[in-house]
Amino acid sequence: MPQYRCAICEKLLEYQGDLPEVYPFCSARCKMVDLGRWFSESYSIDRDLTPEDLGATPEE
Amino acid sequence: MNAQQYAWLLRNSRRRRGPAPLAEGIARALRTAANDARRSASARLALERVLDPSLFERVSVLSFRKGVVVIRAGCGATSRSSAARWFAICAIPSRASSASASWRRERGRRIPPAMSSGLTAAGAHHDSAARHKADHMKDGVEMATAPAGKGDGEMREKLLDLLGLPAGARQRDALGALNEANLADAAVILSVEARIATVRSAIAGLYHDYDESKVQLLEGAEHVRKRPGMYIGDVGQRGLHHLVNEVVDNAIDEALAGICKNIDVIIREGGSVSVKDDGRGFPTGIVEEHGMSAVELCMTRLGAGAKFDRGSYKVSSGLHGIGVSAVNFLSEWCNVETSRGGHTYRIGFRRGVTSEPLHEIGTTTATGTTVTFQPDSEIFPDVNFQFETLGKRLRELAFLNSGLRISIRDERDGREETYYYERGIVDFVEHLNEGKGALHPTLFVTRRDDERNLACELAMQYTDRYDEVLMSFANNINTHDGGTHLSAFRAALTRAVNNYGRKANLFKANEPLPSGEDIREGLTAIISVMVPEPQFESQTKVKLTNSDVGTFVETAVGEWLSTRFEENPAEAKRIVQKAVASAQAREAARKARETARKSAMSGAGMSRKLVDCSSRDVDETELFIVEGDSAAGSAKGYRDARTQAILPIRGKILNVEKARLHKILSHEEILEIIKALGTGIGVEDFNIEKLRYGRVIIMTDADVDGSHIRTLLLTFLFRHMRPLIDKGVVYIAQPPLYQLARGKKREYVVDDGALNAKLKQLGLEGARMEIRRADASAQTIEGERLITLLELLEEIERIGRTLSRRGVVLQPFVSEFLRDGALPTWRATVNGAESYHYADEDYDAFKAAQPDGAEVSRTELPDTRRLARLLADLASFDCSVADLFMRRVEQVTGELTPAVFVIVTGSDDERPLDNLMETPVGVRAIGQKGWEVKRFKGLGEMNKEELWETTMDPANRVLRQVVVSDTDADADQIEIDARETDILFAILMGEDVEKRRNFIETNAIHVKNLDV
Repeated sequence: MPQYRCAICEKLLEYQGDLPEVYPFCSARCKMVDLGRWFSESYSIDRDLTPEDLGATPEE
Repeated sequence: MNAQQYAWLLRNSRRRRGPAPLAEGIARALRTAANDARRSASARLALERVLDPSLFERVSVLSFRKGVVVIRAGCGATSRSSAARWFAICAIPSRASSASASWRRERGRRIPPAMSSGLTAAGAHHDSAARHKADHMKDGVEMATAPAGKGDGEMREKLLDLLGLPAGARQRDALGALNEANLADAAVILSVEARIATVRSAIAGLYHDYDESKVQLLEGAEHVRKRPGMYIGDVGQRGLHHLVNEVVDNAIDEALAGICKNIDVIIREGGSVSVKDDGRGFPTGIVEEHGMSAVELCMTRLGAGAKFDRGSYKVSSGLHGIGVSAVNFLSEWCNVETSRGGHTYRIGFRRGVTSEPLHEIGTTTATGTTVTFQPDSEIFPDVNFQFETLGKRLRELAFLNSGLRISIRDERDGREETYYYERGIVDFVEHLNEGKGALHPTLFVTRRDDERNLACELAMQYTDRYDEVLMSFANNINTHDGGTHLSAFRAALTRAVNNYGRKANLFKANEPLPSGEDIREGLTAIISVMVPEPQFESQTKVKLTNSDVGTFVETAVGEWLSTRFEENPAEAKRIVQKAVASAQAREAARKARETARKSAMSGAGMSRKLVDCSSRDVDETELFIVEGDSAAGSAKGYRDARTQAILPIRGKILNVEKARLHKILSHEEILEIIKALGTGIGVEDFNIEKLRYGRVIIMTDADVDGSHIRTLLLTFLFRHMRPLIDKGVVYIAQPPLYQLARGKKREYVVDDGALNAKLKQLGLEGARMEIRRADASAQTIEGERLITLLELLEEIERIGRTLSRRGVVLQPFVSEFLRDGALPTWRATVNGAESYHYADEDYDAFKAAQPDGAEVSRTELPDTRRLARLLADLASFDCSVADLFMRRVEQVTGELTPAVFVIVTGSDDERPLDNLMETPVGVRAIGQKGWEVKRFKGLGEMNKEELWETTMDPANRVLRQVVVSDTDADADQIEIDARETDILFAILMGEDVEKRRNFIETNAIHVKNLDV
């Protein structure tokens, strides 16, 4: 059976057939925790700085 | 007062007396009730039905203090309701020296003021005005009432006196309670005072110094039979099974006293039930006062027994019902066998009347009691006992009394179960948590307060679930509605967790603090208290009200929890973190709901940044989410304003630290997206039906930052708006990366691959390859054959790149290892030395030959079999592997040796190549001739016409549809996809590489090509 880990609480879950509605979470609750993180700007993508970044002024 | 009460009063008052003030009072009360729409409907309904609930079925004993019984009757209304009317009957024995002081004490315990409006009682002997000299007052219980119609002034005085209020400052309080309506209610009760007489025996029976005649005892039995509901709740299944509970409770009391170890419940074939214990056995001695044996007294007198005095039993559960005598009264027959002092005795009853006098039936060394009874089918419509119902309660009792063995046997079908729990409520908690993931071993504590004779036990365990299972018991009674013990536990837990979290610095400043509810998420707990004088709010819905129990539990549990947490920081941390997570969830849910509401209210017009399209037909509309203001400006300036809407977004640079750049989608940006889409957000509030566009197209720069923004957006959409992706409305725009210009001619290509393909196509136009070997005549390869050769070489090139990522260089690898047309598939490393293997068996044999302890690792060399085949295919072009890597060398003249491979263009220009592998590069170089290749650094570098033409115009553009890959069918694909799209998603809260990898894997999104 396919497995995945809840992206919030890391609980290991199994499912059959289609992806669960709450995927990649275990529950509506963890989904809401995640939404809270988006709202609180906790998610970022990061990369190494390049010389251009240091020369250029940041967008913000 | 509830509707039924009104109905009952109305009907009875008319029948009995119907005085004017009574009708007035009812009318007023109904008007009050009518103010509450909910109530008025039910009130009217009840009036129509003219039900006949007995006022006294609602009697509950509020307290039982020496010499004073306070009983509350009637009225299911809550104390918060203005319509609540409580009737109090205060029975005060004449002997009690400080009646009014006791009463005042009772009052001090939060009896609602409205209660004072109820029936008042005072010593009839002191009140010459009382009209109710009734014969039923003989027994020493004085029950009198203030007469109606005597004038309000007198009534007030009397009530104040009874309330123990001075006629001074606090009078206002009393007057508030004693408004006219309430006085009228008092009058109502007076009018039904006759009813009171019928419960007189019940009240009287509560006295341990009771002195009654047998005639009156019979009246007690008759009353129980007439009004069974008052004693056992109802005569349905619940009441029937309650009979067994009553008897079992007696046995449990023996267990609580530490004597009884085994209880056996047997459902007999004929439908009777036996309850057998190995306690001390019912006493059989004659109680002189009454002239009968103790067992007979207990079985035939309501409330008789040793339990009202703390002498024999410190704690007992038997106070909530009237006891085993009620069971006897409601049984067709009942017999008791008691073994005590070496003898076994037996006594029998029929419908509560002794039918078989107490007599000895044998000798024994054991002690104990067996009560067998057959419920009376005159009382109970259905006298069939259910094994499951009894079993459930018996199991609960076994959980609550560790070490007590309780068995149940059904002789009708032979079913049998035994309940025995060494660890009591710890076993109970673990039973409830079966199948859930426990976060820690069950915690257990037991505490006593010998001074006040209180004891409490608590077992608790957190699981990975999100529900809360709390059960509370007082003297083994399941207090379904909780009460002081449960509230105290909750308060203590909340405080302990918060204190620990604060002390251990587990709360972050910008996060909401966990509430009690958050802290109890996932908790299974059972609290059981033993109280000498339990007080319950009502009979059916059990709620403990002893305030001293609350204080005791809160202190005991609070101290224990804080010590426990201090000593087990890891466990405490998990509990706190769980609570914090729960608080976050709640906060997130709240925010999400707010946002959903906001976006629903505002609609698209309220999105500040959205440039909407004019059409509202979702079949043709598109929303472009465009990175960067300048690109958005171009997009706005040149679009199909009817169908294309533009929403500019920017990745916000959060901060720069450790030479890394963090980009986020700001809160505002996310809100803009949600608003523009119109779907709302959140588990309950998201609705794809409200999507305002037929396509959602993400348009970002074709660089690393652009791909990051796109990944953020896709991740958000995937996690919280997945139906959009499932429905296939999310697309990625493909802005060109290169522009090829030649004069006025413009060509655009989306990426390096496409550029190479384009250049190849241009380079091949009219070109041919000539192979000029010194020892043979020249050959020409052209047309389809040339294309095939080129593709073959490109494929070798590609495999070469793959191999080089594994540290294998194509030329030496092929030259050295190509044997009989085969190449190695494995590279093994043993203690740093490399070796190559052609087949799995080779490797296995090699590995087996290594000495023990050698560190052998291996690397798969992908596509080498295919490479070998491609190399073999070279022969069909009269080429060899050596041709691939040959070199032209410098001759003495300084010139290079003549090229073997030469590309001749359509215009007969010659381009000599060093070797065959240079062919693709050579072709591309020819193709590029005359074209100016320009690389766009971002969308902003295109002018609006270019952007329209290449990326937005449905006639020319290329869109890629976002689909969710079948994650588990092809696990490799996720990895490849993740690498391809250059996802470097960090969760800022900690540099957790594992978490990051996990995130990428759990968010398997890939894009597939689709021309739209």
